[in-house]
Amino acid sequence: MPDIDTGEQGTCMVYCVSLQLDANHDGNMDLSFTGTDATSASSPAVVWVNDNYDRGHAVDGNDYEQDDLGAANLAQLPTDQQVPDFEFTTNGQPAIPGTRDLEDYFRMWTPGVAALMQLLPSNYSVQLTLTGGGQIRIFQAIEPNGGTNYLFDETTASSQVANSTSLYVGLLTSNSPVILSAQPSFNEHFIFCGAQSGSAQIDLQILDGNQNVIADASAYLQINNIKEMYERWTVGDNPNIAPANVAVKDMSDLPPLDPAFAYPAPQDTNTPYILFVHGWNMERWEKDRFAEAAFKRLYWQGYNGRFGIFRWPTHNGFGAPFSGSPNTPLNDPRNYDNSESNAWASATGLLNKLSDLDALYPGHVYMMAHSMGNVVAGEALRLAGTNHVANTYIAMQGAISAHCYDASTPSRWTFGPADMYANYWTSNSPCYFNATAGAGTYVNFYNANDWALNAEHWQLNQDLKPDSGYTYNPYFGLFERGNVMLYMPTNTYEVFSYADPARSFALGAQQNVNGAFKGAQVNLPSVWPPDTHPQGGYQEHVWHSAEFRSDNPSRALFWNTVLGVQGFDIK
Amino acid sequence: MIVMKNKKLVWIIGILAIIIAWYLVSHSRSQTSSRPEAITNAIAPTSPVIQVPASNSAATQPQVSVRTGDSDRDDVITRYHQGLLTKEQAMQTAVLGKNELPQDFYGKVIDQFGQPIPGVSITGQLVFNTDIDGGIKTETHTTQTDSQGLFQFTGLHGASLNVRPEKDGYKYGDRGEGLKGPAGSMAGPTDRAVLTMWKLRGAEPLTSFRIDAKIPYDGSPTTFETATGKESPNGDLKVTLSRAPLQVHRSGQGFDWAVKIEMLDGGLIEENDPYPYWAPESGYRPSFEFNMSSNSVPWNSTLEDSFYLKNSGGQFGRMQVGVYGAATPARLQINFTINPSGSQNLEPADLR
Repeated sequence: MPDIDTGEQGTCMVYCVSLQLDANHDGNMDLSFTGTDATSASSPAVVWVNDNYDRGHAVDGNDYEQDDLGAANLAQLPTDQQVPDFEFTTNGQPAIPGTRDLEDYFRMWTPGVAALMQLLPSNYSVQLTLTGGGQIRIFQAIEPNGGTNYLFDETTASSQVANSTSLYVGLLTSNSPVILSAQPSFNEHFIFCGAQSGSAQIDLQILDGNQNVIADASAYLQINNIKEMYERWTVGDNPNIAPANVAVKDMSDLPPLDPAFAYPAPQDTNTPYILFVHGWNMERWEKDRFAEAAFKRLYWQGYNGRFGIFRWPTHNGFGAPFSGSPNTPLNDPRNYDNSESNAWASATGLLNKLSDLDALYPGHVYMMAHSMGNVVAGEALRLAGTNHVANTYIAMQGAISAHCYDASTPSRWTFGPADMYANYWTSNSPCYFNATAGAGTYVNFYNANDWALNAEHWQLNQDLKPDSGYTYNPYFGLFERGNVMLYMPTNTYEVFSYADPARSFALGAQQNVNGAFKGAQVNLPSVWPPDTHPQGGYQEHVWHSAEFRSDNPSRALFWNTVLGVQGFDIK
Repeated sequence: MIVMKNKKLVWIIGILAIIIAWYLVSHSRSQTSSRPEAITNAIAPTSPVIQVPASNSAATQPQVSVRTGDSDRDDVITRYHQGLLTKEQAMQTAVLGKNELPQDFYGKVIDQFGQPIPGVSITGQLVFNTDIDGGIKTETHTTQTDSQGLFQFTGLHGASLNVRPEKDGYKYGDRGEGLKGPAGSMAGPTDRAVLTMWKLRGAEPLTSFRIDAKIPYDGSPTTFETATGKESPNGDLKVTLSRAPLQVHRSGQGFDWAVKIEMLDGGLIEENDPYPYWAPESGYRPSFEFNMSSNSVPWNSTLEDSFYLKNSGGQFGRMQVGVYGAATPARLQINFTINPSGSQNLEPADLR
């Protein structure tokens, strides 16, 4: 086509550049303009602010682990490291603190720019600008092709972290563009994290020598506080107050005027909802951090459904040495049992929440519970009767008697008080969770060597029952608190929590549990990396909560299994 | 009549007196109660806690660490129920008491050909509990194998001992593959734990790929090409799954199901080697069949197995198969590793 003014004709090369995000986080960059990764002001890519504290630290004496640290552990770090991860520096240089923190980084590509820059006059420049709110911190990707190995391969992740100071590109804010062409070696592939929440339009701009924009490509970001990306339901977090029967939305740790986050009603009735139930010995912030680790790791598996946590009032504060304070939970002889009592009592609230969710997401509610959270979850599903309030329930490292589901699993001893878990509550009766049907599928994620469920912890706590003040009356086959007979089924929760010792192994340490779990189990070591901790054999403390600890590369197979055919089967 | 009534009264009073007396005695024991059975079971009023052999461990899980008896723990429980220990003291005693366990270890290191390996560095990580909440400290002990591949740690006490061999040119499994008991205190100078290491033979280029497919469960076959992993009617790997009834739940109920895996113009050998890095030259069977009856104990809806294979092109390889029979449709996942050169060598390049 001739020039409209002069009528002259000629040929030219058209270079296309774009600013690309993996908006649907499926691992594939769809470079088409209207594809699955296209963003717009009304449909931005949604990411979270990297404002937690993912750090490696000494645990359990001389072991080491990466965790999302709380205030107490953070205070032990050098002062200059007591900053959120998006501000982290090494020797004053912006850096990424560890491989765990990479689960807070997202990919950004600028395809076409490198080739174009080779041809541009030397006084031309390329920059990123941000319009609107929010801030992002940008590093060049260590992978030449900008792939996802920083999330899934330990070697690549370690290399990204080790070289992070030299790969730092800049902090992009509305006041400070990032000049990409000023980078010593230009790479079209970047990773970035949210540094401040807000709605942002990111522009990739080519500028001529007079700073005129001659080309522009945009992408749209919504950068959120992560606590405004999933629902937090609670029946109470004070262990000294009985749990409520109705869970409420929680707004703790949000900016003062922000309401508690809640999803809008789903547009699609096939939208899945995953509800997480935490375990014992967790402070409120820790419950949320475990949920956030799960949320992020599911996100990187490509999960696009909804997510929530159900919180209940467990005691917490575990950790003082033997010679320490007399008020720590383990120095309180019944702390664990007090929490178990709260767990049983929280089941009604969980059932009500599951019923509400099932009405909104019919047939697509999925529940996963960790450790003692399986007391809450198992009881809620029993109380549901024949109503399927959950499609699938995954019991992770379940701290509940395996005999609740299957009286035929091995007993650790023979003579003793009645095993009311196995025979509820008289001899020859079926087990407690016999015919439980609140979920369509029950899956047991177990580790036979689990530390918390081993002979010196969960099992020993069981074997030390009845607790002080409780006795077993063999004549009536019932337990007593002082001189008060604890009748069944009225006092079931009290009997299970304080009096009746489980003869079986814990569900989370037992393979081949029948009953509701028949045929559906995952041996956790098979989805974990080789155990390099001192004891080996997946028997150390860290493995009990392994899925929430360490980094994404080492836990990706676990979360893949959660979503896959052996788990929720929604991948 | 009066006599009769009096006799009945005497019996009733007598029985009541026995019950009351027994009730008072049982309460006076308080925490010394020793786990008698419910009255509807056999009453064993004074039996101590008796440990019976029971295991929750998967037989296939390699267990590197060594642990011995738990009689100290039993003693702790008994003393607690006798009121001699508080719960806190009992838990402390049980956890710290494990530090006194003898950790003698007698081992022999051999290669995949059964030959003893001299000069292997052996590291013994002796672990001690320091508190209830998972605290540990470790002590590292080292030794070397002698000309017969023998080594031992003696006189050690701790909660556990994790033994690991190392030698250039050899590989020991990251998950403890290669360890064969007896272990720990069960082993002795004449009955040693055997640690097999893989003598590296030199890697060759291998191709790896994965099949993740939904397959029918009504007995209709699905075929794949082992050279590419692609589903194809002309493929040389045929998988046939059937189940009854057709509509099943993923958990909770057993059902009959069967899967047949056929290597057309080739064959399969079931593999359970600690180091599956060299495919056998011969012995391949054209098919493998797995049948799970609804009455099987334990019953599982999953088949996870590994095979050496020789495909229709004469290439050797290895495949890890997962068949998930309760899913609808059923699911098949296979990870293939093939040596395209026709060599039996399946040693990966990153093995070290």
